Amino acid sequence: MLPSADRRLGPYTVLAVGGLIAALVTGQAALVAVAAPAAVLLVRGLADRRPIDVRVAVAEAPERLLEGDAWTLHVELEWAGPAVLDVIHTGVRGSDVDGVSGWTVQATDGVSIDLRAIARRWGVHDLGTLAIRARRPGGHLRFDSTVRLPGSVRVLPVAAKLDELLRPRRPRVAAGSHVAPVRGAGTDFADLRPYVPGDRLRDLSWTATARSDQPWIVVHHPERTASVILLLDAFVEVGTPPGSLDRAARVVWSVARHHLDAGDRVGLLASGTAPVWLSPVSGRRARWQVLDALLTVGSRMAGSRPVGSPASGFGPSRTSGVAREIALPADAIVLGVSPLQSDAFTATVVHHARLGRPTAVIGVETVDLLDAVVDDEVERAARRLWSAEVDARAARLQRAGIPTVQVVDDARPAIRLLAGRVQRRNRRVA
Amino acid sequence: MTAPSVRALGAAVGSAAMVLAGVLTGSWWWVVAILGVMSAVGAVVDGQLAYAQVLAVLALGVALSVEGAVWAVPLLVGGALASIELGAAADRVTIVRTRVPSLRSSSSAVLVAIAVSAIVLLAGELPVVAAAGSAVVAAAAAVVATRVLAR
Repeated sequence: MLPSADRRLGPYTVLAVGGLIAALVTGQAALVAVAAPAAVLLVRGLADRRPIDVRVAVAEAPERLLEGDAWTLHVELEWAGPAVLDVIHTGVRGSDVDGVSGWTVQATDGVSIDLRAIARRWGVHDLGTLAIRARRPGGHLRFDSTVRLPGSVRVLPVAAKLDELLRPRRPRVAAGSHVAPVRGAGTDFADLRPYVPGDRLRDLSWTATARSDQPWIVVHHPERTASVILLLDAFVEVGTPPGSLDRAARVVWSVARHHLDAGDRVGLLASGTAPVWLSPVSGRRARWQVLDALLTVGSRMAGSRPVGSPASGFGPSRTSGVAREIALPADAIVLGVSPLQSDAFTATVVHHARLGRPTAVIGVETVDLLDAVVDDEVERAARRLWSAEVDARAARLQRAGIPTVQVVDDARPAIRLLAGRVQRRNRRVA
Repeated sequence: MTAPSVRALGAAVGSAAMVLAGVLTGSWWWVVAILGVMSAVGAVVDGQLAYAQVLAVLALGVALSVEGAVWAVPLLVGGALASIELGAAADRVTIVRTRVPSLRSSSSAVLVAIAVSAIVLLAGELPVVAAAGSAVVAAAAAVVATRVLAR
């Protein structure tokens, strides 16, 4: 680390050296009186020239947070000797700093500082960077350094509480929450039939038996589990973060959590610039696996450019075939979540529907994420064209018999609507 | 104090020292004093003008000696160094520290400078080499004094 001098060093040197030389040349003792104070201050300012090498360690950092959680970062700074430090913490993403983000400290050998912040956006975020300016007390040298804080903070999305499950056409054999079309042991009423020897007395319908001359038995539908594959469109991020991917991921997480709570197996397939495949899993671990997969998509997409930039593009990308190549379970419900900006994604969803899987799409509304158009005819025309393309993709999905609903922020009404449509379509197909 | 007010104070003190030297020397030395005032004020905007300021101090030091007002040298040096010290203190203001926290360090530096200059002048009756030697001794004493002040 190279030191830099403050504004006193040069003038004092000129005054001290120049004054002494001039005194010797001219024989004026008064010039020594001019030079000596500068020399003294120079000596004082350079007396301790040891470099101030500040070592930074994160002593205490949160591992996992939920959006809205307050968190504290405990940072230890160590150096040798007395020093005055100006420290600025910058580059925190996904969180708002709660309180101060800069400190001036005068201490010997070390100090610890606490950064407080509130997690605002889900994802894997860097802890930021410390810009440090250090100098010895009274010294004429300063040492500037920038230290990137090691580690990251994982902010988990808060899921909306849904009240509807997407029903599979044929549930799996394992017991769960979905009512199977077959009859067997369960709790949902299916039919009544006359008693035959061997039936359990607990299945006897007392009301039906009392109204007739013979005993009647209640037949139930068994509850089974389902496999849900969530297709996340990571082709295009619309708007600056938190943009369309943020909304889409929230919907995905809400649906995933709700189905996992119901005992279903949930898989995640993100296609586009951040492809991720998580085969269907269930149970408590599945929740973290789905979240990790989502965070991976979010952190990869964080490096991509928003729509409208040259790198984003609307067309199919190199990874557009990934979704078709992966073998999905034949009985899985496929739910696509997308801002409907990508033809490749639309084609993938249609492909799954044609293979006979129950398929539905949640379209993430993105118009409100774009900057307001003021007085630009060309921009307005481009927006109309853009909206028309979205409508065309939605129409293509509808033509393929894929129920599609639009969602802005709250996914609950959309899921409720979609669950009804999927149920009706399942009945038609059955 | 805010950084602009500290810089303005530094310019005022530096200018006052130059004006005092100009008044005491008179004649064409006024031109040097005016240049010194201009550099002291200009240093508020551009710190590089502090070099012009110290050159003016050297010239006025000779002038005071020639015109028989050697006693004013410590005041001239003290004023100029106060100006530079205050400018450096204002430079330490950052987005973290928006106000100049304390001028204690600058004040002690200026007091040390005036004391050293006065001590050297008292030894000024001696030959130049002896005076330079006494300045070194005074510097050592000032370092010790500074250490004591720092505590």
